[in-house]
Amino acid sequence: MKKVLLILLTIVSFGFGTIAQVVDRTKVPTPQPNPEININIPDVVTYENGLKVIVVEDHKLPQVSFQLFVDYPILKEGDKAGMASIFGELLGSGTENYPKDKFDAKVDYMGARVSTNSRGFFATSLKKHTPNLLEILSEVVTAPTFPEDEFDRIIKQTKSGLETEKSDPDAMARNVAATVNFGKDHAYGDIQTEETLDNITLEDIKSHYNKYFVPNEAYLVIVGDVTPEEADTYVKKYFLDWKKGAESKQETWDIPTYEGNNVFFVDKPGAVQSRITITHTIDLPPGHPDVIKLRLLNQILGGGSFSAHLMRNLREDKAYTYGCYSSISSDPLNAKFSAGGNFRNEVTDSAIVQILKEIEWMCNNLVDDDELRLVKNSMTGSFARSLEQERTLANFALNMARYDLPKDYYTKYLTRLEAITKEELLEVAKKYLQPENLNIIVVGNEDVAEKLEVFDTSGGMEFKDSYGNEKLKLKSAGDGVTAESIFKNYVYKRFSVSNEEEFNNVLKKIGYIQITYKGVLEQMGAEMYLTTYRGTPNKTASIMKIKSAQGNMTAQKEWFNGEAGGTFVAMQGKTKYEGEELEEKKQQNFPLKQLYYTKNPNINAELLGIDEVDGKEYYKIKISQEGEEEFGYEYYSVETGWLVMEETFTTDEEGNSITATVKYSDYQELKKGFMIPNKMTVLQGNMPIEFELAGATIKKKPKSKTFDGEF
Amino acid sequence: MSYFWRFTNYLDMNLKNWLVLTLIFSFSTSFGQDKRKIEFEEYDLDNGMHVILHEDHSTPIVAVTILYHVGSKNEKVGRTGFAHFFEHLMFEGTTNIERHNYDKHVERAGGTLNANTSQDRTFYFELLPSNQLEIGLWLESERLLHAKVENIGIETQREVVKEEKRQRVDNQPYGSLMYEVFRRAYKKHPYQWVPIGSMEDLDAAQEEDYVNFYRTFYVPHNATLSIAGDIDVEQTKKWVDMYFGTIPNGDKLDIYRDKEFLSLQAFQEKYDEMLKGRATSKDFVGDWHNDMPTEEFIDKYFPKVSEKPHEIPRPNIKEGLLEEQIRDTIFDNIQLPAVVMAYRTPELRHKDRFALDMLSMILSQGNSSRFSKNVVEKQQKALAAFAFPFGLEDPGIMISLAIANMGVDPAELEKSLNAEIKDLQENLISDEEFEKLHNMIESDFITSNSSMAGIAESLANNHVYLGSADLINTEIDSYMKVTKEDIRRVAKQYLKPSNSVVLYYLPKGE
Repeated sequence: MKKVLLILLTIVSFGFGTIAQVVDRTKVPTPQPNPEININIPDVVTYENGLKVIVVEDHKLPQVSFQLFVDYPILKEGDKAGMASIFGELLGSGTENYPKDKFDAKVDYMGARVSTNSRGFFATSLKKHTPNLLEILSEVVTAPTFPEDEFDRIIKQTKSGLETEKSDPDAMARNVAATVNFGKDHAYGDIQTEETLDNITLEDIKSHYNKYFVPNEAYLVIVGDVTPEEADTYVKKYFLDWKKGAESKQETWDIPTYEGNNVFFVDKPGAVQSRITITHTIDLPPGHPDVIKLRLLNQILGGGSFSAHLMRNLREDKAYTYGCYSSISSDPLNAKFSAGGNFRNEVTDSAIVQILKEIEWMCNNLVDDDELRLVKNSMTGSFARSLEQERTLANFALNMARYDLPKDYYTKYLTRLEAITKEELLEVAKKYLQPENLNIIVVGNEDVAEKLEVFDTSGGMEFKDSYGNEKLKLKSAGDGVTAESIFKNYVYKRFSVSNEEEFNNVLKKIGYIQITYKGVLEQMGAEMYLTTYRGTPNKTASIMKIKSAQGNMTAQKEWFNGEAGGTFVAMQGKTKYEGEELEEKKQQNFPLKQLYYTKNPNINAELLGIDEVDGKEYYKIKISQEGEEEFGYEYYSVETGWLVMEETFTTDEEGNSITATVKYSDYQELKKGFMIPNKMTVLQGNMPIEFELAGATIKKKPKSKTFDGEF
Repeated sequence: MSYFWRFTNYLDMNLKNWLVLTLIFSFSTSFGQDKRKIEFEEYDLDNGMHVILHEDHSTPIVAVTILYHVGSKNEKVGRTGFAHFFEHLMFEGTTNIERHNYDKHVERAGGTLNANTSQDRTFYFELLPSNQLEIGLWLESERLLHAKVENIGIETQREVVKEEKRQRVDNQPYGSLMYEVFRRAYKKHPYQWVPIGSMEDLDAAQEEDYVNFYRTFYVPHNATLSIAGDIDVEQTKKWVDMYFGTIPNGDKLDIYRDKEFLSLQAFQEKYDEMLKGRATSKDFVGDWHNDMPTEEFIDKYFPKVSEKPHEIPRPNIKEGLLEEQIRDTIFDNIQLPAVVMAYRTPELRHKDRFALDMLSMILSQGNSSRFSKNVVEKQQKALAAFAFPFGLEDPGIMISLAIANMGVDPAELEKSLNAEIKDLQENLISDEEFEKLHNMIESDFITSNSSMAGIAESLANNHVYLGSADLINTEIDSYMKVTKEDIRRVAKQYLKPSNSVVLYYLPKGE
């Protein structure tokens, strides 16, 4: 019957097609009467072990989901930051009767999904698998085994994950915002690092489970094709063996206070955009009457729509960004306001100006009636749309229970939203937003940093690392120490001489130096040979060979005979030195380039100060060349005078920076007092290649075919 | 106005969520077997536009969507990125909607809107309270009939798109992955570039490019209107007729748009011949200046103009499987190396798609999958490893990707991934694994399409890509017919080295 009807309807609709409809396209259609929005928030049922259960019936699809939320206090983890999240992951790594492999196989076999977290789990399956799923979930709660090998693996993987975060501007900004807003002593200022992960033990995990994972602080939310009676049976059968435990009290922490606006900069070499986060803490517990007003205010300032002030101004008007948003959270301890986005390097400062302007505007102006109407409508619609997900009702019930919200908090939500006036918005803007007391965090290219100082009220912009730690300023090198004196000291030391006269005598005897280093690329089963040739006054050559089971190949060559030269790169071919590059090659550089840094007018050598790396002190000298983007740092041991590290920063065609680091160690005498580092480490990203001295020759005459490119 | 690129979207998220997402993707076009059937009606308007309606009263909302069958594969060399850029411009306004007001209409109605562009399609949608359906139809009909593309919008959106690329591709670890894979995996087909395209190409675009693109692809017979939600079908059809049924097509649509966007002089010059001198008559000029409604104007001066739809150009390049493995290394601002192995696969309509989808599920769906259990967990070679089919209208790609654990050499990781693939090429999967697959497919099938927006999109996708919207109800049958032997066969046939692009992502450094 239905099919026949459908066919009929289709015919009728074609009928309409033939009748020309009159349409006035200039008129915006008016809405039909408002649809009714029904909100039936479920009750919370408490069982004898204290477990609180919320059931939302939704019989549209034959599936049932279970969410467990253990509402233990927010914890300060400090030097064990990451502990709870490791615990959460380990919770799903096997139980007494379902060791990890069996556990995974069983879950996947049902086509179910189970994920665990620090406060419980989320699991869903088709209804026909529900009893089997509950079998597992019940064990997750009462009999997790926390296997050691899984613990080790998760720690290792979390560390790898941290590695990827090191280059993620959002993660960097998040870390800095957390430490700046809340301070290192606050739970929200906890930052996971390799160190804190190393401090976590399996015992910590187990004691966390024993102390905090108790049913009398837990909520079980059941949503789907289920009746309250069925739910009751499930709970009684699978979750009442879970034993009651002691309840814990929430600790609180003080948060830092700041004068004026403060700028925090994190250097991200090679960044093509600046990640800007402008933020401050606020005091706004969930359920506070101002929450809904601030949500409305935030929608107008920087909500998700294209007509929000930040989006309209910074994207649609100025095209500084793909997206610029703000957020205001409520939180039982300390909440925060935050605004920002990603902006191309050149407009970093302009973007800050505009964001500040928009924040300030909200604090001094009444919003437009039209705009208020629009945002109220939009929020009402969004509230209604969220009800499409049955989970929304479950969350409402969960929030009401957790934060002790009034019974009509959600049912009257739209009524309260509708009643908000623009005067009230201005009032909460003034009360909560602090346009003159902001933390301005920028993660970006070093080049943009100098333009940001102006935003810092007291002028003391702080540099942070990606974990939110202060980046130490360099100590002064001390009186009488100059770049030149450091270079001279180093060069003399290389030849075991103590003054210019002795050094000149040495140079009479040495006119040619050839050194070979051998590196092993273990995982590729290859060896790399790097040989450099130097001859007085400016002859150079080098060759890089790779030997592996597949055969030998020359990866790179370079040569210069005083007049001409060039380079060869495997698969790219030869290039000749020309123009400025050729002129630069002609500059004297034998026996060590450091000798000529201060003599070559094109080279700038700037002593920055004393840097501390792994507890040792080094003079840090910046070397740059006139007209070149490339630059580098050289590190000389304060204690010994040896050059121990060179860092080079250069830019590729796409404008991204490339970093290369070479470390030198184990300086030993080759012969005739000539000292040479026996070990060299080249860092390529995070994969260091270790080189060892494999041979060296010194001669009086600078004669070698290699300078002409014949190897 | 987001740029539709499934992969980078995953990258915005937690690594852990990837599995779930890829899974949703691979079965987003399928639905419940003996369970809830998705009822719908579909028909064509006289102008060629296809309409699909699905009625569901459980929540008072409605999704209004239009799928234009144009994506980056319809772009010309030298104008890559144009389809996506055009999507941005389609929010700028129309004859009846001023700049910056398109989205405001939706927000005022309590709704939300967005769009995305893939290789094959451009998709626009509004999610509205159900009493605001008509405004959604009006907005979309405005976009189809006479969207306004002005210089100020072009300049602004061009910069916005550049920022979008910086944020999603350039500044994102592994963000260039799709670009690097696709440009090597195709030699002739336009899939060799990705939807974000080239910024130089966008800079090079001329005014006639905008006009031509709109006229070629934004026409009724290239559009599928799919509506799902709390609707009254009868009333909806009336409105659809009123707003869309009255949109002309063919030459008439061109004239309609010219009447609204050209100056009088330009119009007179263009149609001088057709109007046989009437173009300069007092009558004509008077009607022009007196803002005679466009329909009336056309009826009066072009009574016999053709409404026959123009043919839509589509690439007809057929590129077979790769003949030789392509290997390369990409240096990126990343900390951990990654190995990407991409294989060319058949088009979405090909029967092997089902077996290939299942193959990728065995490899990486769930903790017990081969990659997760062996490569990630047991051998600890990878931080994460995935395989997902990137099905496209023309022959597509299956990508497997693994991010190396700290200190693991990519060559070693590649070996491990290959060992898993080799096993599937040589051995049949176990009965238990096969049953697991069926259960997973059943579960995904039943639980997908739980939102009105998702249903509207799936119906439109199925109609356009696969030729039948009803596959939303029946596609599971094709999965259930796949045998273990089929899975082994497709593993051999498509996942062979000669049909692959292998990329190592390495941290930048000298």
